Amino acid sequence: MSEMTDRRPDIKETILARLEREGITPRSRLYWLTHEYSLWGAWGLTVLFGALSLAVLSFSSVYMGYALYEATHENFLTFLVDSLPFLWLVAASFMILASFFNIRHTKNGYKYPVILVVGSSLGFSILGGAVLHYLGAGYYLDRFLGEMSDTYQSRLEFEARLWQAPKYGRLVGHAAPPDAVGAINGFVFYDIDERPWPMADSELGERESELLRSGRKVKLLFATSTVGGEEAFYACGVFPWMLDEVPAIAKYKESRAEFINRVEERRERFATVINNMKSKERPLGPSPTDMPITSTMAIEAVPIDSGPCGVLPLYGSR
Amino acid sequence: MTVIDGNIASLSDNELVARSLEERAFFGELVDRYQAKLGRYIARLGVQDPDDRDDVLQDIFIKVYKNLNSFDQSLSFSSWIYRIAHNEAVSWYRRRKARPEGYLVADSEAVLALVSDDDLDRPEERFDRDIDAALLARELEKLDDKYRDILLLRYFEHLEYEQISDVLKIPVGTVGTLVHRAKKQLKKNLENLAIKT
Repeated sequence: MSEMTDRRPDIKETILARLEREGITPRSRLYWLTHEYSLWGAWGLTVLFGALSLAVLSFSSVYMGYALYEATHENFLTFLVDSLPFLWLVAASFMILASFFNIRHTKNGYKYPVILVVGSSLGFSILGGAVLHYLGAGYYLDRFLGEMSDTYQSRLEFEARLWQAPKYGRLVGHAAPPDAVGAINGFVFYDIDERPWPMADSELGERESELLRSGRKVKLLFATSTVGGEEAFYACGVFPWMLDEVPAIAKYKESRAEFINRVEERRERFATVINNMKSKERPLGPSPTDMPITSTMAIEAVPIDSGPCGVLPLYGSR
Repeated sequence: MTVIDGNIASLSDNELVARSLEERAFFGELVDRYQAKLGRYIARLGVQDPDDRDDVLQDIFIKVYKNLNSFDQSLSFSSWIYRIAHNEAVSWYRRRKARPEGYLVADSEAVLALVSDDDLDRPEERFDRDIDAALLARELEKLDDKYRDILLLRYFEHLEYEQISDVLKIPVGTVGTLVHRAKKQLKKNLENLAIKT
């Protein structure tokens, strides 16, 4: 060890001379302060973006359409895979990791216990996310990105794509009074592309008819049938469309309670029909059509033993 | 350069840092104080060639000087300068692509201190008797970097857990865990060696 403990006397002079020669000076205090505050600022930003991601994530998750997943997907798993906002899940996770990294690299970041660092990054993001969600920021950001980018699909667009699927008996739009287009025994439903669909309303309950008559935008489940010897579309379920404005929690709860009341009587029937369909493994829906009945169309007769809505062309997400 | 008074040796490290920011010549005293210690430390970390060591030492002190304003007076200067030395040494052998083998000089006093340390889970008695400092040093070299570095700081540089925490920028609790695991792995390696022989 003696060789290593020998001091090399010229080191000090060499260093001082080099400092002099190369004009090396200590970096200013301002530089280090800026460095430190930049890290804290970056931490704040990652927490903010993490909170925003969580706000969109929670908005997308809450308004994913759980209540009607049987109508749009084969089972809950396929519904989740199709509907979960994975992009925001990844974004929120990344932001939380980045905020952890930033706080760790501040001057004293290494001294804080891991639980505190993780807890503060995660905690502030969740807290911020909850506040932003409450304020509707998740909805606005999601919708804004959907409008600005062709590659980003907002929850609104997703829901519209899912429900504007005539081939599978689902439509989004609003109803017009029967006399507007001359539909008989029912109403005309205009989908989001403004195509008219004459519908029979004999299968609808009072509340559903009321919702339709209000002229508000709704989601509609329908079936084709030749019941009564006449081929026609039958409206089987009407559900409120809630994504054109910030869906406040209270309003959502109110609508949901109303919705539950409205569909409870039908739910059991739908479930039976779906189970029957699954057990028979028959192809989706009778005479799937992508076109409204405004011209002569051949509609396959459906063997019905429980009314026109007994066999609904349910699920099929595209 | 102004004349530095004769009481310079009585100044604390922190005072010298403050004075160095005003007058470069004071920095020479800091170099004097840490040159030998850091020389030994970086040699243990793998910078063995005297010329290389001088180069790395120069880089360390230049970096220390440039970063003087970032020194947190609430920390010990010793921990802070060890941190810079550690990082520079690691950068040096990363530039060389590999950490050289056989770099850990068998410092019998330090090695025996490691073995007899109260914290250490005592190896078997036969092992106590037959221990060979050079053998232990060789086994130390075989440890994972994170374990070897922490034992080196604890038992060769005699730093406290808090200082090690400042040098390696890890929480104090993690230092304790790593020291414990490092000793456990070392003990296991030595026991395996004893069984083989």
